[in-house]
Formats: sequence, structure tokens, C-alpha cells
Amino acid sequence: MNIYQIAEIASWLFLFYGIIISLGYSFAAIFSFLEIRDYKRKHNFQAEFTLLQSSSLPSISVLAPAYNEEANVVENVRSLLTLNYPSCEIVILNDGSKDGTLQQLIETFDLEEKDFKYYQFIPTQKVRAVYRSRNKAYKNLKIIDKENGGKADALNTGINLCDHEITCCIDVDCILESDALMKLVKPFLNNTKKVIASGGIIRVANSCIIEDGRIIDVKLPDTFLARAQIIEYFRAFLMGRMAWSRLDGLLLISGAFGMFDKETVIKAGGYNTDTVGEDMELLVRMRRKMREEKISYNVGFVPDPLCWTEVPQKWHILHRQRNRWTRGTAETLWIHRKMLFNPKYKVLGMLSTPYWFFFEWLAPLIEFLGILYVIYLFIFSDLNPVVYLIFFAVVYSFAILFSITALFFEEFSFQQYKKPKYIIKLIGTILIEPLVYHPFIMWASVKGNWDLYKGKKNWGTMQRTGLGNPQKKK
Amino acid sequence: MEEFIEHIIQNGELILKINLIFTMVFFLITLFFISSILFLRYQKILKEKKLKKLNEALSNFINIYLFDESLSPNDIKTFQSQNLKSAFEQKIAIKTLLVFEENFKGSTNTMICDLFFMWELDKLTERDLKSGIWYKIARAIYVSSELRLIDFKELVQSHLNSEREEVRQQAIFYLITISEEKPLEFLDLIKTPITLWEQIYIEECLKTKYSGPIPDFSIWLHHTLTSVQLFSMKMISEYNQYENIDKMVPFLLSEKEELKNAAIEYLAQLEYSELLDYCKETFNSQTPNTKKVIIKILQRIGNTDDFLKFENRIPAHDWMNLQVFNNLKSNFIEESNSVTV
Repeated sequence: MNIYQIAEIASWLFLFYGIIISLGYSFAAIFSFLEIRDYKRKHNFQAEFTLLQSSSLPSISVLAPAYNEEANVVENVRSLLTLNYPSCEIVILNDGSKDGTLQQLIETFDLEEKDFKYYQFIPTQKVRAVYRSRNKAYKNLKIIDKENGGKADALNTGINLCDHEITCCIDVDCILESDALMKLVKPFLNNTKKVIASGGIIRVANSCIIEDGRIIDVKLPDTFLARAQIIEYFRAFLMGRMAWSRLDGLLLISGAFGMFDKETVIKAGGYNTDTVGEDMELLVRMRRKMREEKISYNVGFVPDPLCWTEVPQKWHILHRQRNRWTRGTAETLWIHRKMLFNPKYKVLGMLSTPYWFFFEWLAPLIEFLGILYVIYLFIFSDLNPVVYLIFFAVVYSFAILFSITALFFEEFSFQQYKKPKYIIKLIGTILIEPLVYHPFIMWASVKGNWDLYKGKKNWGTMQRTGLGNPQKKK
Repeated sequence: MEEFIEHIIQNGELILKINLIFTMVFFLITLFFISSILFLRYQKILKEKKLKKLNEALSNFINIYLFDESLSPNDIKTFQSQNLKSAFEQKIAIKTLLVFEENFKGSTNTMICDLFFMWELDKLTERDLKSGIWYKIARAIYVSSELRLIDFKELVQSHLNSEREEVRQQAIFYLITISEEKPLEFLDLIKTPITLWEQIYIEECLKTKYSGPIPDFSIWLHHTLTSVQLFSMKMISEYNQYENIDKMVPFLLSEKEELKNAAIEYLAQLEYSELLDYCKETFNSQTPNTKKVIIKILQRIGNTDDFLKFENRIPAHDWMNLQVFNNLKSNFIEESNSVTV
């Protein structure tokens, strides 16, 4: 085989891959559209808040790990305490913070140490103490102080020590809509099958106006980086997960906000502390176990914007985050490689895991190789610029089409960004994003794979500028 | 290298053509979506303006209609012919009437209902009910339910076993809402299990929307659907129907775990005197799930000693139940201490 033949094969392979990925995304768009349309039709005439008074709703344990959150933890906990739900306990897991996180909580909420006896359904780091408030107003608040073991370990501790059968795992600095718990618990109740988990859409809170721990005005961030992530979240949630939810092939419920059946989590072994993608790995393991035990089950997905989070505003922090996400995806796919193309796992084996393998994990690598190939041609040949332009145009046009479709879905469904100028800005971001943001994300993913190969296991620190100020903040 | 490039261009021509076609198609679809986004936004702005204007007109008119007797039937018809021509306008009128209906009671609500008919909004509702389109049917049943339109009972009843859960749910709530007695008669007709969410809703509807005599829930204890049986047990305990205790007791021996567990839980709420003995006798042979239910109700049906004696009866490997027990025990000790203090 000579160099020409290799080049020709490579060209056709890149084209074939491009067509498959475009078809995949197109089908995702169609399924998402159907799901959003159905959801709109279901919920456009009836409010369900009246049920918030019902004592028949099941109790929920909200688990929120905190590590070195001294600056915002008190306001974040206050915000969680105002959640509108008849029966829930808020469990804050101090994961061996080195700052004054625990002290802040003890002083503010008048905590006292309680005797405790617990069973390690899931093995975890040692629990130092369990605190409850002397103040009756905070009777549903429980603080668990434990030795540092990472987010997964903290959540496992919470699962071991929480009181209720349904657990809601969240990031402590997330801002939840006041009726978030009720909406997320609905799939557990409105189902004839056993529901093992439910997740919702995560929204970007940067620049939004927050009052008393609630989003009161949705604003578009000024920075390009945050806006690009808004577009990315539209694509991921309004197109990706909506479609997978309709196909019953959801493999990921965001670690920032997800609800789980405690018993199933414990039986599956809890969060895996050996991976940095513990949220995806847990759901895949739970689903795999249910399938292997031939138990009929469901995973719920609620398209309402229920949870708002701060996204990285600095390139190096974003790089770290995406590097970690890539390692998490690769680790999960490796752990569950038996599922890949395995008809025994139905949609999960034949669609979801292949999709994640080829289009989530492999895509950045193929893209990177493609760029290297073009650079090679550029350096070692005097290739006609028209060829470059045409290849570039097709990739660019598809990238903006995909993002514009996601923006269309947002406009068609929730219309969170009310001002017309926001739409113009978002369209502008979509036009620039494939040229600036996307290559950066691709590089972070490639680097993530390299780090995984080199055996890197740590999370890296995620510095946040903070959202938790209860005062009106602009 | 020149040869190489020539080779790529010559042999890659088809690829280039395909790419070019795809680029154009993608750009055209992108333009279509951008136009759609802008159109949706423009339409929304227009719709909001129109909505605001119509809402104001409707609210003013309804207020005059309700509280000022100067309006004649002709005025009502004139308003209808001028403002409620399209289906969109009629839907807004229905929404506004529902808001008024929610905020008023008694004769005012009857007047609102009369206005609904005078504006011939029942025709739109009926048309939706017969449309065969699930979301229109569900919405029409919801409207009928909120305005208590009893004329549509037969039509709604035909949707009780609809394939769409949204339609089934609305049909159930409608039948409870319009009922003057026997609000749960529909349970005899349903063929699909009622979910926990629906059970909670039915319970809330019974409490808030229905004002007739409370039914004897034991009628459905032997329903073919387990979910209905569970619901009737719950309702028996919720409404303290002590006279039905004897009918619930046989479920303690049910082969279906969920029925047995429900019987234990609700008989405990009804303070069934023999339950403690039953729990003591059968605890060791029960499944872990049933043991959990028993542990949770022990404090209610026995004294402190009865409760504490069960600690040694929970197998060491049954960590889940041991934890439930320990949680209850620590809460219990805490409560005792606070009482002592």
C-alpha cells in the first residue's frame, strides 16, 4: 500500500466518520424535538405546586459534599434549607476541609455533636462526627464531618448515614429552583416500574441575579467563555440527554443534581472512588446491574431548568475540568467495556455505549488526528487552498448548525434568555465558538487522554468566583 | 509531492463535491433555524402584546359582568364577536375564566360558568374532547374539571382507559371533582394501575375538590389491581375508618409483599390492637422489606420495651434494618431526654 492509497483511505474514513457523527446528531435533534414538544404539551395547562402540601410525598435526603467552602457554605446551606418540599433532610458532608468550613457551620447553625452509630453499606473514610442543630428551625439539617476522601467518598458517606430512601446528590454551591425536589421526585412516583434515578437540566448561573439563594433574573454572561458554555449546555442537555431520555439510553445524570434510589445505589456499591467520572460510572453500573438481574426499571429525566451552576470563567480552569471529564468518560467506558455492542444490554449496549465511545470519547482524538493530517498536507504539499476551504466549510457549517439547532430548542421550549439582544449575542457566540472554544475543548480532551495514559488520577481544583451571595448581586 | 497532490485532487473530487453539497445544505438549514429563532422571538413579542391587551379586556369585562349588573346579554355577545374569534383568543378567555374561578366561590363561580357557555367556549372544549389528539383532550378535561362541566361526563369517562397517562389522570380528577357522591366510582372501570403520583393526587382531590360524603374505601380492597388495593388501604387509615379494620387484617397473610407491608403500616395507623402480637410472632420469618415496615411502626403500637426487644432480633447481616432501627432508637432516646429535661 503506497502513500496515495493511505491518504485516500484516510480521506474516506474521515468523511465516513463525519457522516456517521452528523447522522447521530441529526437523530438526536429529532428525538429531542419530539421529547421537548411532548413535555411542553404535558405541562402547559396544569400547575402541580398544590401537591407540595401533601404529606404523602416520600421523604428525601439531600446530600451536598463541601470541601474548603468556607466563603460560601453558610449561604449555600441557607439556600438549601429554603427548598420547598414537605419532608427532606439536608445533609452537608464536610470532606475534611482544611479551612473553616465546619467552624462556620457550627457557629451559624448552633450545631452540637450527636452520638451516632452507622453501618458502612459502602466503605468510606472515617466519620469524625455528626452534628445537629440545637435550633428547632434547622431540625432537618445534619452535618457530617469526615476525613478527606474526595467527592465520591463524601457522597457514599452521606448515603450510609442519611435517613431516607430517596437521595438527592448535589453540589453544595448549586442553586436549585424552589420546587426542584418535587419536580425531580415525580418520575419516582409517576411510574409503574421501579425508578432508580432521575436527573434534570443544569443551567449556567454566571451573571444571573441571585436573591436569597434563588435566581430572580436570568442574564447572559459578558464573557465569551461563559456564553460558549451556555451553548454547550444547550447542546448537551436540550439535544443530547433529551434524546437519550426518549430512547431510554441515558448514561449520565449530572453530579451537580441527581436523585437516586438509595437501595439500588447501595446494592450497586455506591460511587466509585477510583474514577474521576463518578457520576456517570454510578448510573452505568446501576443500569447494568438492573439489566443483569433482569429487573424492570426506569431512569427519569426532567427537562425543566431546576439547577443552576457556575461554570469556569478562566481558560485554565476550564481545561482542568474538561481534562477530568474526558478521563472520567474513558474510565467509565473501560470499566464497562463488556457492555459495548453487547445486545444483552439492549439500547445501552447497542446504542448508548457505542455512542459514548465513538462520539464522546473518540471524537476529539479523531478530530486531533484530522488536524494533524491537514497540517501535514499543508507543510509537505502545495495543496490547493480550495480543498482546505471546502473541508473547513463543511465542518464549520455543521458545527454552527448543531449549535443553532440547540438554541432553537431553547427558544422553542424554555426561553430563559428573555431579552432579544441575548439571542443576537448567543448567535454571535455560536459563530465564533467552533473557531476558538471548540479547539480548546478538543485539546483539553486530548490532554485528558494523555494524562489518563500517564496515570493521572486527581480532580484538580475548581476555583469559583462564587454565586452564593444572598444579597442582590449583579 | 506534486504527483501526490494531483492524485488527491483527482481522486478526491467526489469527496470535495460531497462536502460542497453538505456545506450548502448545512448553511441553508442554519439560515432556516436562525430565521425560525428570530421569528419565534418576534412572534412571542407580538403574542405577549396581544395577550396583555386581551387579558386586560377580558379581566375588565369579567369584573363588570360579575359585579356590575348593567351588562346585557347583547354586550356579552358583542364582546364575544369582537374579541373571541380565533381559537387562540378563546383559549385565553378560558384561562382567564379559570383564574377567576379559582379565586371565587359559590354563586360567583356559577356566573363564571354561565359566561363560559354564553361565550360558547363549551364548543371549543367539546371539539377538543372529541379531537382524538391527546394533549387537546387532556387540556379540555382539565378545563371541564375546573369549571365542573358535568355535561361532558360520558365523554370524559370514555377516556378513563386512554393510552396516554396524561389523559387518564385528567379523566380521574374530573370524575372526582364533578362527583356529588361516590367520587371513586371510576375505580371500578379502570384497567391501568394507578401510580403513586396519581394516588397522591386523588387523595388531594378528595380533600380539596370533593365535598360529598366520604366513601367506604373497603369496597376496593379486593380490586383486581394491586395499586387500587393499596390505595384503598391507605385511604381507610387516612380517614380513620376503624370499622374496616377486620377487612384489612387478612392482608397480613397476603402472599404479595407490598399488600402485606401496606396492611401492617396502615393497621398500625389505625391502632389495631392485635398487630403487636402479629409482629412479634412473625418478625423472624418476614422478608427484610417487611421487617423494615415493622421496625418503623413498633414505637406506635408498643411501648419502649417492645421496641428495644427487637434490636436483638434483627440479623447481624441485615445492616439496612439495623440502621433504620438505630436511627429510630437515637431519635427516641433524644425525645425521651428532652421530655425528662
